[in-house]
Amino acid sequence: MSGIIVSILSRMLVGATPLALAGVGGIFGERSGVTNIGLEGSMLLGAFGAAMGSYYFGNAWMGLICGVLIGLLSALIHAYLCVTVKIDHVVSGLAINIFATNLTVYVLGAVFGNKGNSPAVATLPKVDIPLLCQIPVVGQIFTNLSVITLMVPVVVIAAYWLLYKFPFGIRVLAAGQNDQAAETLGIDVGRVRYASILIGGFCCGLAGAFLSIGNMNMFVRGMVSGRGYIAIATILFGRYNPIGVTLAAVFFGLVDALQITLQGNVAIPAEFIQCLPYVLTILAAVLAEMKTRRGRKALSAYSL
Amino acid sequence: MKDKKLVPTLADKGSSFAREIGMIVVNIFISMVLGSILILAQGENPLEVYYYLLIDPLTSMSGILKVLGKTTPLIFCGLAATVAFRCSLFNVGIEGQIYLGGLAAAAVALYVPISTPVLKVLCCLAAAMAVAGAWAALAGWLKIRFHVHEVLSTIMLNYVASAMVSFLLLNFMKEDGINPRTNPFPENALLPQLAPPDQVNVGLFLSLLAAVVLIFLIYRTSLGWRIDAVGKNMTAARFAGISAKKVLMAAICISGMLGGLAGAERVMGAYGYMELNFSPGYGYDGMIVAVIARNNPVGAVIVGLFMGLLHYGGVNINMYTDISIEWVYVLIAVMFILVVADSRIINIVRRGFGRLFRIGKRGEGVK
Repeated sequence: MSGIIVSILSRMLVGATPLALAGVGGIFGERSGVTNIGLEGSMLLGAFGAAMGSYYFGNAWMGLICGVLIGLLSALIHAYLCVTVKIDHVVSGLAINIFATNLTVYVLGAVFGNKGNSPAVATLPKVDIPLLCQIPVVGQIFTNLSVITLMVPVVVIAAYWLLYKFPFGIRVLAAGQNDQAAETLGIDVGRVRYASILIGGFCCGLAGAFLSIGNMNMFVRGMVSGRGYIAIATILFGRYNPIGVTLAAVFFGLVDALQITLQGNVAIPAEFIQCLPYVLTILAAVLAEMKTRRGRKALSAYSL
Repeated sequence: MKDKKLVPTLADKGSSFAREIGMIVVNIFISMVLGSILILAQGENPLEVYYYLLIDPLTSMSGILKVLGKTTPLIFCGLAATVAFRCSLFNVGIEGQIYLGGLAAAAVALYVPISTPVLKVLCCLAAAMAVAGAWAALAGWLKIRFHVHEVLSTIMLNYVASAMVSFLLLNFMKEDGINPRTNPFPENALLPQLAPPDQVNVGLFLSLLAAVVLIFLIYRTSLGWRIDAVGKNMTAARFAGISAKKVLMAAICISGMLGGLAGAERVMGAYGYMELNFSPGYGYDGMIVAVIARNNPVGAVIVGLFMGLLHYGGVNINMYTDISIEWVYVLIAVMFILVVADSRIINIVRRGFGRLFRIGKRGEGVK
C-alpha cells in the first residue's frame, strides 16, 4: 500500500514539473495582457530542440540550452505576431501550435528518417536529495529526481519575486490591467509584453526539455499531449499567481499520477480514467470563475 | 489598438473585395516562396516540388477525383469554423464533433432498423448533427454560464470525446478481429460513391448543399445577421437588443452540427464503417480553411478545394520526391499566419526595406 502511495507521489512530481514551469512562465504573458494558447507548441518545440541539441552535441546540458533557446524563439514569434503585427492572440497561439506539431515531425523525418521518435540521446542527470531521501518510507519520493524538477522551486520563487517585488513585475501588472494608463506613465507596454512572453518561452523551453531529456531520453512525436493547455488551466486555477499556479500544477500532477497508476488496477474503464485530467481542467476553469464571481457582479450588465 | 492608417498601404488601393482576394493570393504566394527555402535545404528542386504539389494532380481524371475525395470533410469543417469565427467563437472542438458525429451515424446505421435507403441516410445524418451539435452546445453553455474560454473547453472536450468514442466503439460496437472498427454498414446506410475506389461520394454534394444553406443563413436571414453583429461587437449588439447568449449558442451549435456531418460523411461515404481516429486533423484544417477564406462561406468552399489539392499534392510529392507530407502542413501553417496578418507583415517588411534603401513616398513618416 505504501509502495503505491510513494509511486503516486513520485509520479506526481514528474507530472507537475512541466505544468508548473510552463504555467509560471505563462503567468507573465497573461498578466501583461497577452493570451498565450501557444504554450503547447512552445513546449513541443522546446522538447524537440533539447533532444536535437543533446543529439548533436552529445551532451544533455547543451541540449537543455538548445531547448530553452528554441522555446525563446517560439515565444518571440508569438510576441511578434501579437504585439507588433497585432493579430488576434488566440489565433497566433493556435498557429504556433499547428506550426510546431508539423515542423517537428517534418524535421524528424528529414533528419532521422523516422517520423515517430528521435534516436535515444544523452539525458540530464537525476539526483537524490541528500537528507530527505533517507527518511524511512517517504524518502523514496526524493530519490531519482531530474535536475529540472529541482529547478522548479527556484523558478517559482524567482518568478514570485520578479512579479511582485521588482519594478519589472509591477510594470507587467500595470500593462495588463490598463495598457493605456501604463503608457501615460511612460511604461513601454510593447517592450514589457515582449519581455513577459519571452519569459514564458524560456520556461516552456525548460518544461519541454524536461519532457524529452529530463524525464525520458528521446523526443517522441506529439509528446506534449495537451500539457500546454493544462498549463493554461493551472494559470486560471492558480489565479495568475506563481505560488497558486504551482499548487495547481501539483494537483494536476497528482491527477495524472492517479490516472496512470489506477489504469488497469481498478474496475473503471481505462478511457474514463484517461479523461480525468481533461475533465478536471474544465472543472478548474469553472471553479476559478466561481471564485471571482462575487467581484464581477458589478460588471454583469456588460458581460454575458 | 487599431491599425493606424495614416500612411496609405499596399492594401488600401482598389475595391475592398478585390483587395481581400488579392491579399490572400499574395500571402499564399509569399508562403510558397518561404516554403521553397525548406525544399532547398533538403536539396530538392522547388519548381519540381510545386509541380507535383499543384499541377500534377489536376492533369488526370483520377487525380482530380482523389483531390475531390479529400475535399469534402475540409469543406464541412471549413464551414463549421466559418460560422463560429463569424460569431468570434473559436470552435477548436470540431475534431471531437467529427468523431461523435461519426459514432452517432454509425450507431443509427448499424442498430436502427429502417429499410428505405433515403430515410435511413437522413436519420444517420440527423443523429450525427444532433450529437455533435449537443457536444458543441456543452462548450457554449460553459462559456455562457461560467465564462470558460471556448478554446480551453473545446480542446479538453476533444480529448474527452475521443475517450468516450473509443470506449463506446471498443466495448459495444466493435467487429470481431483486431481492427478498432465497427462492422461495415448495411447497404442502405451508405452514401453512394461516385467513382470507386476513390473516396469521392455523394457527400461532396451534401457539403456543397450545406454551403448554400449556410450562405443563405448568413446573408439572408436575421440569425445570420445577428451572428455577424455579435461577432463584430458583442456589447453593441446587446445594446441593440440582440440576445448574445442565444446567438452564441446558435452559432456554436450550427458549427458543431456541420462538424458532425463531416464525420458522418466519412464513415457513411468514404469508408463504409467507423474506425477509431479516422480524422487526420480535419477539425484543425477546417479552422485554417476558414481563416484563409477570411470567414467567408463562399471562400470556404474555394479554399477547401485548394486545401484538398494541397493535401493530395502532399501525398503526390511523397511519391516522386524526398519531401515528406509534413512539409505541406508547415507550408499551410505559414499561409495561415500570413493570411491572418493580412497586409501587416507585408507593410512592416516594406517599410523596413524603404528605410533600408531610402525608397518611399516623400513625406511618408518613418516610425
